[in-house]
Order: sequence, then structure tokens, then C-alpha cells
Amino acid sequence: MKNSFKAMMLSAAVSGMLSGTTPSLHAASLHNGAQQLGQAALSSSAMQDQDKDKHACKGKNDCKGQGGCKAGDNGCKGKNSCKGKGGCATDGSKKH
Amino acid sequence: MNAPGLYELQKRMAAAVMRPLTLDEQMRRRDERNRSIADEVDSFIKPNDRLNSFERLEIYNRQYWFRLFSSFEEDFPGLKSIVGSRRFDRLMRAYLHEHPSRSFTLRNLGSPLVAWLRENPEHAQPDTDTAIAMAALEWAHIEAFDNEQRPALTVEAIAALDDSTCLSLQPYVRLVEAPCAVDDALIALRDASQGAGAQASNAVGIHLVRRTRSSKPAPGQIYLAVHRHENSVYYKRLQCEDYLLLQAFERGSSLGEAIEAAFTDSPLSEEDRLAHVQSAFQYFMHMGWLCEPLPTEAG
Repeated sequence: MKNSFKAMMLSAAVSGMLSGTTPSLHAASLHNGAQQLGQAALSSSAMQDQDKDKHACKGKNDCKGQGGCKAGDNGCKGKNSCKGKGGCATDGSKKH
Repeated sequence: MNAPGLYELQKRMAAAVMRPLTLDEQMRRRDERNRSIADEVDSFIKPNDRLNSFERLEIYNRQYWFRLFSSFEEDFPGLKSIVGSRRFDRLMRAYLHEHPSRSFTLRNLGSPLVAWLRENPEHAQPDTDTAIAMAALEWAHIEAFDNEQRPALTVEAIAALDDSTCLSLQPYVRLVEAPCAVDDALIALRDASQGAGAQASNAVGIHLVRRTRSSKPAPGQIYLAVHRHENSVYYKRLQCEDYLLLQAFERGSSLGEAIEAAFTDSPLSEEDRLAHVQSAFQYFMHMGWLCEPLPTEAG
């Protein structure tokens, strides 16, 4: 990449970052960008739309168990073989 | 009991509980040195009126592994759908044998899975690349869910940028590339599981039958940012240039290096590159994805 074009790319990056930091600048920039920059801007302004993202966990509490939520212990589903056998007693002499 | 005595007892108990099960999910009769486990157990666990010492310990030994298995399955349903139930079961046992739980939280159980699959691709056959990409997506989802969020770049910091300034990617933004639409496949699988779950919730005693094999993800290279927004996880498809930019920042590259890496092989015209880079950085900042590197990262 030529130095002069590299400098232009850097300027574009910095101006994009600055316009992305404030809502008012962001809105103005999007509007102008879509008008002035043609297809590339339109396609990338679509990138701004959060709705275009794929929501990976639809519905309520769907992120449960996707990390960090391991407190609920459903791990023994159907395999709880200790029920009623006294395996959970801390004292071997304890009777249930 | 004195402290060293208690510590030794805890070590023995932990080793016994965490010892791998037999293939038919029972407690082993012999340890790694072919010593009788029953004799070992008798020395520190009392029997009760219904179970001997071995049987009492076996309950905990089995529950420990059942919990790991169910947690692993819960974290990687997409991988299971691609390799199938039987292969997944073998994969899981082989993986947990090499990477047993070492963390206080089961959240970290799958942490080295993607690297392990790359070293052991026979477990991910026949669609090896797809299976590994799916595992990467599922691990990225876990990280995006609860990884740290650092303060985003400030206007002052942006104003002081030059091409040698190093930037960093937010830890909760994870990047995944895949040879097919693993994102669509995983979302469809989750939707199907939730639908089946909702149906079964009104019918006590009806077994929930889940699809264990999904239709193949649609082929075609994709680039994803898996990220968190307002406490939900999203899969964002990226253009290749955006992916390469973020990947460079993930490595701790400078702004100039990142732009160079992203656009060297880009088919975009120079005019389109300028528009693209401006719009991409606007989006990154809008989402708060860029931050300053930690002092240790900046070197």
C-alpha cells in the first residue's frame, strides 16, 4: 500500500471511529455516508443495524448454561442413583 | 485431625471421586497401578447398612462424571449434531480424559476443546473442518457471554491515534471463521431444542427427544464476530476485511498494521476501501469493540 493511500486509510479509520463514539455524530455520518459513498457505504451502513445480527439465544433466559451459569445443578438428570441409599450421609453409621 | 492429615484425606477422596469410570459407567475395580480400589476405599470410607464402602463412593464417582458429561453436552450441542451421538460420546470421553476439569467452574470445561480437536481430528470426522468450526463457535459463545468488558476507546484517545498506536479488541468479542454456515445451523438447532422442550414441559413423564443430527450447514466461507450486546449473545457476520481488521487488533497490532493486513489482498477498489474502512471503524466504535491494550499487552 502506498504511503499516501495508507495515510488516507488511516484518516478514514480515525474519522470513522470519531463518528462512532457519539450518537449525534453517528447519525449524521450514517446519513451522509449513505448518500455520498454509494454501494459500499450502503452495505456497511447495513452493518450498523443491530437487528441484522443473529440473536444467538432467543427468548427468556436462553443464555442459561451457556457459560457462567453453572450454578443450577441439572447434571444428574435421570441418573440420581443415590436417592434413598444413604450415599449422601457423611457418617457411615447414619440410617435413613 | 491435623491439617496435613486432612489434606491427605482430601487428596485421596478427590482422586477417588475423579477417577474415570469404566466404559459401562461404573466405578473401576482397579486403579492405574492395578491395585484394588475396594481395599483403598475401605481404608477411609465407612460402609452403612445398605451399601459397602465401594458402593458408597461409586455414587459420588458416577455423579461427578455424569455432571461433567451433561455440562459438556450442554455446551456443545452443535458439535454433537455434526459428529453424531456415538462419535460425540467417544470424543467427550477422550477429551475429558486428557483435559479433566481443573477449574472451580464448569464454565471452563471446554476451554481447550478446539485446540484438542485440531490435534485429534479423527474425533471430528467425517466433517472435520465443520465440526471444529462449530466447536469454535460454541466456545466463542461461552466467552462472549461472560468475558470481561473493558472501557472503550475515548474520543481523546482516538484523537491521539497514529498508525503505530496499538489497539485491542474487547475480550467479549470473539472471532470465528468457518467453511459453512455454522451460525445458522446452531441457531436452528437451539430453536428446535427449545420447541421440543416447550412441548415436553406440559407433559410430565414424556421423554424429550432431541435431534442429534442436524442437516448439514450450508457451505460457504463465513466470518463471524460473536459478541455480547445488552447481556445477550449475537453472531455477527463480517466481511473478510472487517474480520482481518479485528483479528489484527486481537493480536495487538497497531492501527497501521491492521489496515495493511486487512486490505492487502482485498478485491475492493481504493475508493471503496476508504468508504469501507471508515464505515467499519464507525461500527466498531459504535459497538464499543475497540479498547486500549493493557500495559502487559502493549509490551
